[in-house]
This record gives sequence, structure tokens and C-alpha cells, in this order.
Amino acid sequence: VTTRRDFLRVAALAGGGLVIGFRLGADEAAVELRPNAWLRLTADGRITFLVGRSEMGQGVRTALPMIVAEELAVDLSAVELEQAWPGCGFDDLGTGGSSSMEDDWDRVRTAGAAAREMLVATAAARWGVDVATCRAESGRVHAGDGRSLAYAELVGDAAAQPVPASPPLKPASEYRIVGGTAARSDGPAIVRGTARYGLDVRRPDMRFAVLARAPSFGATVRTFDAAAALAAPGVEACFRVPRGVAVVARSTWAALRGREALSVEWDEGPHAVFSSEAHADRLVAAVAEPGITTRRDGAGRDALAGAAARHEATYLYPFAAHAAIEPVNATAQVRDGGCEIWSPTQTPEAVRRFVAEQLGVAPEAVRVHTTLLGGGFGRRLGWDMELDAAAVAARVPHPVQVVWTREDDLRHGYFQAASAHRLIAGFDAGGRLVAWEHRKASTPHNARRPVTAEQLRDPRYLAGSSWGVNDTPYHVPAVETSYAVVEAPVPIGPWRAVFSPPSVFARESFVDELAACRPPWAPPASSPPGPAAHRSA
Amino acid sequence: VLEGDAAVRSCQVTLAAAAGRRYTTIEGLSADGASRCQAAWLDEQVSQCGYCQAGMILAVESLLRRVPRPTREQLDGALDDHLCRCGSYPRARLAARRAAGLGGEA
Repeated sequence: VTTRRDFLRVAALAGGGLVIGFRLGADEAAVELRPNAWLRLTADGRITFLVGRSEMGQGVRTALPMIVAEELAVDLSAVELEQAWPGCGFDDLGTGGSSSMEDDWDRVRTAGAAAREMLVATAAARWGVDVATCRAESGRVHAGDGRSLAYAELVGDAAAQPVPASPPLKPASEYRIVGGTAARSDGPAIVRGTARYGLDVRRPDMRFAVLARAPSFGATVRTFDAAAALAAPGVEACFRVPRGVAVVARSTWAALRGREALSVEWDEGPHAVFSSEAHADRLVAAVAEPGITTRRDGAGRDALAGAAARHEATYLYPFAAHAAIEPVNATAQVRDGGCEIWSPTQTPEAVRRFVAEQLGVAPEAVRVHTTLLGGGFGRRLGWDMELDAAAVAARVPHPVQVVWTREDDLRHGYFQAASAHRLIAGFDAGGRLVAWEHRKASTPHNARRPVTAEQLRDPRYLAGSSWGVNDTPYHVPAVETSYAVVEAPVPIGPWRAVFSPPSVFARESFVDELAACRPPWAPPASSPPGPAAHRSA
Repeated sequence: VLEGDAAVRSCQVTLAAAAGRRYTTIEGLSADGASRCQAAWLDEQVSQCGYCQAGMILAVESLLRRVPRPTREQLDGALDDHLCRCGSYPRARLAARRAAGLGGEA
């Protein structure tokens, strides 16, 4: 659990980009209550909540503040937001798996309640009354006799209180904010056009870059001729980076014109002939036979042999790109032995670690600023865009924004794997569904986490890649699911709900077919999904 | 952006073509962020990630300037070419109707 249990009494407000421009008396500025990584209360009455998850439209910059405001007993409007960054005291800033609320519910409640209890104890001590006679409400502590003190008047002394590890949490019956509706915190900025996404990042004297990227998977640069590119107006530099040739210019447009003029000779490698159509044929061929069994109930597929009637169908699902509306981008500045990254990332800690590794510096020398995300869907769980930006910025004495065009995005991201599905249902003489087989053929690779040859033969590993197949919610006496691995030289990675969408598409389409086939076949009975239900990217 | 009262795509307009014309971006739509479409968008909590919303808001504003009393079909048509990867379309339609003074269900 992320809890920074130190109290800070600092000579000035620490780390406060948001407080610049505020003029405070020296005494007011001298104290803050920082009971944990999430909260900072200062004597000027400001309450700052550090948001430890990335906002990509799921509303986490509204929902988490609702939780903390509830337990801290303040109005939601009193809570200012600051985006957390790697190194600021959080254990985990990653945003994926649709789990932010599930993961942070207890932690953020506890963070808010701990601060509240410290403020209440401080007020009780100042009044010389029993803590139990005091209560917190709307940013004030109230005594039983009607006296009250604002949190701002208490934070200095509260900082000397011990941080309660298990403060009492509000019962749900007392909720005023949680369970209700709140206006989205970023809503006004969005409709005014002032919300800042990664592509909106502007730094003094910055440059813009695009990469000439490989024409086929795994291709490498053999040689390139930058003369024509460098002659394009606004183009300032052109050099090789790990994933292509960078064109750096004074504007994105100039960089794009430079890239058009650039001449690159590629060593296309063995995958130049890869085609989605031929791959689809291999997938369909692979489901002609059962793969490695990932679940078997009852007699499994053997029950099909004794069925009075059968129905079969094959489904094919293509490679899918994320296509987030905000084009992929990242901005980097490398100087003074360190690096700053501005990025719409779902995984700021991985960005810090791998950028540091690439630059050969300590992680502490890399500062990651997470912007708003114009969609994530798992694409921004990757860190390739930040590595590109750092590689370019390392060669240029300016901050550089590396921009991906939509074409770059669709060709050079990582993809949800294409798959084929063969489903076979068996019915008894009464039209009841008694046997169910679902074969999946696909590529369970993960660009972010390489898969070993052993894993590709391991039924348990393949079962873990079979969401939507082996967790079918339909009750059938005999079930067999299997996975046939078909290799593809295509980068595969988490894409919204990861393995589930193609599998569920096939499964539910098949149920539709079974329903349409009646009589004599009846659709299988439905039941709620079990605990191994779907997780999304 | 608005070119006069017409919604156009800024990335498709060159500076040469823009000479002498008047453009309004989402930032310039109103001083207080409370124009009819902006207010309706907030009332209906349309935005998810929000990245596409400027285009939708300006498209509906453009229609309302040219057709003060549009039909639902005209409002839907104004949103036709806009892609929202998050899927905010049902709320965007409601907000467009609210901005146009039309109530009713999605």
C-alpha cells in the first residue's frame, strides 16, 4: 500500500506547480499536512489531491477526488487536482485492466480518512475536549458546543499528529458524494478547448519530428540520403534512431514534408512477404483440428460424437489497431544528464524506467509528466513513443515532440492479434445443448512482455490467453476449449479487453446462430459470468 | 474550426486559402465557455476523453447559426462525420438537441 507516513514541515510549499502566483504570508506558507502520497493540505486552505491514474475518458480524475472528498469531509469543489508522477511517492501509477477504482477504493478512502482523523484530533486537543465529541464537515471540525475550526487553521499542528494506519471509514449510509453524480472535473476545459493532451504540449524553443518507419515488420535501415529532406524548408536535422530515420523540423508540417523527401533504403528482412490474407488462411486451417486443450468439462469434445444433431461455424477476426483519436505522440527534452518526458501515457513508471535505460541514466534523472490522454485502449500501455522521443531529443538541443501520423499509428502500433474460431455445438434428441467446443487459433504474444516457446506449449499459459473462450458463461454439460498457436511477425499487445473481443464476438455470434436455428435446437441457458470474467486493457 | 459560420477542418485549410477569412476556434467560441453548445455539452456530460469534442461542438454551432430551428435529422447530420473513439454519440445527440432547444429522448 502506498502510504508515505512522513510528515513534512517545509520552509516553503513543496513541488507546487499549482501554487505559483499565489502570494501568502510567510507563516501560512510554512506549513503543510502531507499524511500520504495523495493529499497535501496547506494553511492557506488549499487541498491538493494527487491523481495517481491516467485520465483517458474513464473519469478517474473525477471519481477518485469524489472518494477522497467524501472521507476528508470537504466539498468536491474544494479539491484541487495535480497529476502524480513517478517518484512522487506512489507505488503504482499504471492505468489498465479497468481496475483503477477497484484498486484505489480502499487506499484513497483511507488516505482521506487519515487526514480527517488527524485534523479532528488536532482540534480536540486545542479545545481540550474528547475527540469523540468532535466531527468533521465541509472542511471544518465542529465541537459539541458549537465551536468550529477550519482545516486551514489546523494543518500546522495536525502535521505533528501520528498518521492513523486504519482510520475509521464512513459507513455508506453517510455518503454525500460517493454514489451520486458529479460534473466531470475536466469538462469545462474540454468544451473551452483548454484541456491539454500530449499533442498540446508546447515547450520553449521546441522542435517537431516524425520518423521514417519500416515498410515491413522487422525491417532495418540499410542506408539513407538526407540531402533532399534537409533541403526542405524548416527541416533542421535528419539522423538514424533505433526505429527508423528521424526528421527534425521547426513544425510538424515541415517534418512531414522532409520525410516525404527523404530517401531510405531498407533491409526488409524475412517478413516483407507477410500478408494478412495468407495469415488468415493459416488461422482458418489451424482450427480445422483441435489445439491444446484449455478447458474440459464432462466428456469434452467426445460428447459431440453422441449428439443427435450438431451445428458448426467458423469465425475470422482481423488484426485490430487501437486508433486512439489523439495521434500517438510524446515530447522529450534531454539535458544536464537528465530527461523530461511529456506524454499521454498509461504507464508513466515504465516510461521512466525504459527511457532511463535507453539514455543510460538513473531513473531519478527522468521526470515524466502525464498529460490527459485522447484515448488509451491499451495503446498507451506501451512506451515505444517515449523511447522514440528520447532517442531524438538526445541528439537535439531542444525539446522535441515526436508525432505519429494516423498512417504511422495504423501501421506501426502493436495490434490485437488476428484469430480464427471454430465452434461446434451438439444437441440431444430433445433439442438441449449438451456439448460445446470452441477452438481458437491466434498469436498470444505481447509486445510488452515477450512470450517463451515453453509458454506457447503450456496449457495453463494458453488458458490465461483464452478470455472469452474458456470462461464461457453458458452452462453446458460437456465443454472443450482449445488454443492453436499460429505465429505472426506482427507486434501484438494489449488492446481494450485484450483477448476477449474476438472470442466473445465468435461465441455470441454462434449463440445467435443456434437461436436462429430452432427448432430443433434450443439456445443454451444463460448464467452470470464466473469470477474469471473479462479484464480489459 | 468555424470559417465564418461554416464548420471546416483546420488541417485541410492552407494559410493561403485562409487569407481574408474569419476563423473561430473552440477557444474563441465564447469568452466564458458558456455558449449554447458548450453549456449543453456540460449539462449532458458528453465528453469522455474529450479529444473529439471541439469538432462536434463547432459542427452543431455552425448548423445553429445557419439553421436556427433545425430538425433532429439535421442535428444528427451535423454530427455525421465526427468520430468519437470513446462512443459519446448518444450524449452528443442529446446535447445537440438541448442546444437547439429541442427536448426529448435519444
